[in-house]
Amino acid sequence: MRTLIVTMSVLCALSFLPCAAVAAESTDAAAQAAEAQKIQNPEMNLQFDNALPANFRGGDPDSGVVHVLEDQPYKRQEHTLLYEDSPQAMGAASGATFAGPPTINWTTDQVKADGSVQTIANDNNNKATSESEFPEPGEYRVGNSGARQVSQSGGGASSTTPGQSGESAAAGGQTGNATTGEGVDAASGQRVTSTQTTGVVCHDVTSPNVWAVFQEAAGATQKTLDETELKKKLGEQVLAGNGLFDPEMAVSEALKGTSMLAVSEFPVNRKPAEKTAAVGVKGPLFSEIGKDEAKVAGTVGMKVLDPQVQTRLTDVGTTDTLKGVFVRRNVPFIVTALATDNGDKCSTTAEAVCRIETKDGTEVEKSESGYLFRVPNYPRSEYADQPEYQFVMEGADKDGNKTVVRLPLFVVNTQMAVEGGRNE
Amino acid sequence: MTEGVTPTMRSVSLVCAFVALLWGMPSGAAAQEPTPEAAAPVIDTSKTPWLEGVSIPNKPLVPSPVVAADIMGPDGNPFPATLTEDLPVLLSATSEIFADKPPAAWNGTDLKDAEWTGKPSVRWFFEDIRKNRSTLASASEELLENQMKVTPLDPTRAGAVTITIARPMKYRTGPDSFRGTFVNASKSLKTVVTDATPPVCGLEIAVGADSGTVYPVENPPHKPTLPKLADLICRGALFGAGGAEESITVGGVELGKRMILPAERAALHLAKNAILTLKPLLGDNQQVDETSVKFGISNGAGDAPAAIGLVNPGEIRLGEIALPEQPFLFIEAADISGNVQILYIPIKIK
Repeated sequence: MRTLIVTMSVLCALSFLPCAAVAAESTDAAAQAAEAQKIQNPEMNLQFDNALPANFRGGDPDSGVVHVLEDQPYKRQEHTLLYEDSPQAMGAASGATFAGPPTINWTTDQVKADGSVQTIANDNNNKATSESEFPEPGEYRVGNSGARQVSQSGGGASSTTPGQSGESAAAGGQTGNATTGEGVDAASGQRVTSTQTTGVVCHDVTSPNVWAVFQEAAGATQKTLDETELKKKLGEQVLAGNGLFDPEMAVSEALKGTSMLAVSEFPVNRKPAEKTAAVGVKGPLFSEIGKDEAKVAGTVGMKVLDPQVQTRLTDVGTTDTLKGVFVRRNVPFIVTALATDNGDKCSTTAEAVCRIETKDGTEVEKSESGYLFRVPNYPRSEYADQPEYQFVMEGADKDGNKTVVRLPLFVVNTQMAVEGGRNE
Repeated sequence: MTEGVTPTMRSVSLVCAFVALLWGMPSGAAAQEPTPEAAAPVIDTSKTPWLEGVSIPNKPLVPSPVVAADIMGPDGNPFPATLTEDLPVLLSATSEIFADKPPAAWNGTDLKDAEWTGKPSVRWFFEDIRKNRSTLASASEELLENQMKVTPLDPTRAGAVTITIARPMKYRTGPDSFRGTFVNASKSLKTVVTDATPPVCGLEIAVGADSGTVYPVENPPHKPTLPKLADLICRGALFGAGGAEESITVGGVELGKRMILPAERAALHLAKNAILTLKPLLGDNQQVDETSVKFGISNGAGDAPAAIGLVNPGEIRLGEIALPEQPFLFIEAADISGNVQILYIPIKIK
């Protein structure tokens, strides 16, 4: 074969005729030489400056995943040969220069439960450092990418594409021309890229939102619901507001006449050390005279529950404007509670503990399916011999963040409070 | 969708493996973890200001393979060197990162039992190199993971399409241990985005204390098919028959060489001997070729203005020129890509 090609070359040289075989061979050689001159995309180093330990909350230190807290600002930095002063360390020819600064993008992808990946944010800040925070717990990927033009000739940036002088570029047509981008690329130098990505797990440090609904079985204009049905309706109400309590919210027809107590993150997405929850009430059972109220009764700071794993506790007790739950003597009622969490963007509800207990922690037994108190214990000064009760509600998320409500429950010696607004 | 090892690379690999066998040496280093080194880099921020605040080495401390990627045009054709503004183009990426298995070695380190641990993150950008501005492309329709429909919205002679891909993998570091890392691939190709939109130039007209302005506004913006359309905005007392302030919008006018403001919708109402001063209002999504700008009075509204009197006059004295039966003010302009606009504004003599 080689002999044949050599022979053909000699014949070509002798006859001064074009020779396809030789031409093809030289073209291949030129292409290979051009390929060899190409700069390989350099690696990139990407690090978080103030991330949590690699084994945070049971993380695998070898996973390479970075652990952060939700709503906590984090600094990131990256470095690559592409961002240096000259391209020679990347293997560029002597005399080659960077034709301008790098174009730098910081991209955040969210990894969904099914493993699919969605880009949710990009910051084209053209800097090798960045600061950001993750507003929702979950799995993310943070990527950095840089692109930069290397001028092989050592000249400055070309403002026009070769073959097109500035003033004679074609007017806008609807089709591209036949020249490939690679051709343009090769002719005016090479656009070199570098990229790196880090997996990020953003941990939930927000106490869950917890809601309770009380439904009395007397004096209601609505048909009373059983506990299962009441819980279902409460769930619909909670999800309609993404778990956040609003005193002005519209209440579904089925829940009209009920009383609701809710603890929900407010304002949302504060820094972990500053997180607070609002305590909201709606209905007549939070006033000693049975006044129908809808209000935020106060805000409670979320305390660190376990410093090691940075869980949070929202512990709700009485406030100046919320003294307790006031139920009526001889009026049966049912109460149920649900929790919802920002871990799944408050898209589902979960069971929450909901009970009434005496001061020593003994749980008060239900009468049939609900509660019924026959003896009043309020005002306490008049009924000091009667037991003290408290309403307890607790919710927890899968990460161990908790919300606990303990409010006095008073049995009021009244008939229809709304009739007279006075105790008998 | 995947790109295999090129024949040339495979030959080299085979030769290396053969030589290694002959010498009784492993073809790559044992699965030994590199010793992390964290030497602080020397950075001169007067030369590389984007590195301000960076204190880490320029290479990762653990293996993080970089593989090749390429960008293809529609139907497997090469990436087009020229794109047209507002016209979507379906691009696709090829890379080993879409292969069944991750690389088995990197920088001389064997990556034993390497497996992917997640789906790739694929990010497409359109870049204006001159402005050093990058826009993330987002898909509004279901596409394959290696595809993206890119619509360049602004013309540029220094554009680029860039793709970056990252995919998590793990490799064995011990009998019961694995390490996680990312494989990365990226590519950026320059392209020109041609300007398909004519200029949007108008005129500001003053007659004594009265004035009128007329100019086109592309609507809908970024219409992908030709012709581009515009609203003609007419404002000022000169557009009112009784001298009252008017604000008239004429929609659906084809942007280009025959933009005629319909006289029944809006016209300049001028006295027979009015003295006009004209000021061109220049606008284009790229750049107006200012040497191409002409304005004045035209006899009719044909394919090209039939100028009466001076072209580009600072002032026009209507009483001193013989007005035709159908007089129009006109402005003609081209952009630096050669798109031409001619706007005719009818004149009614009071």
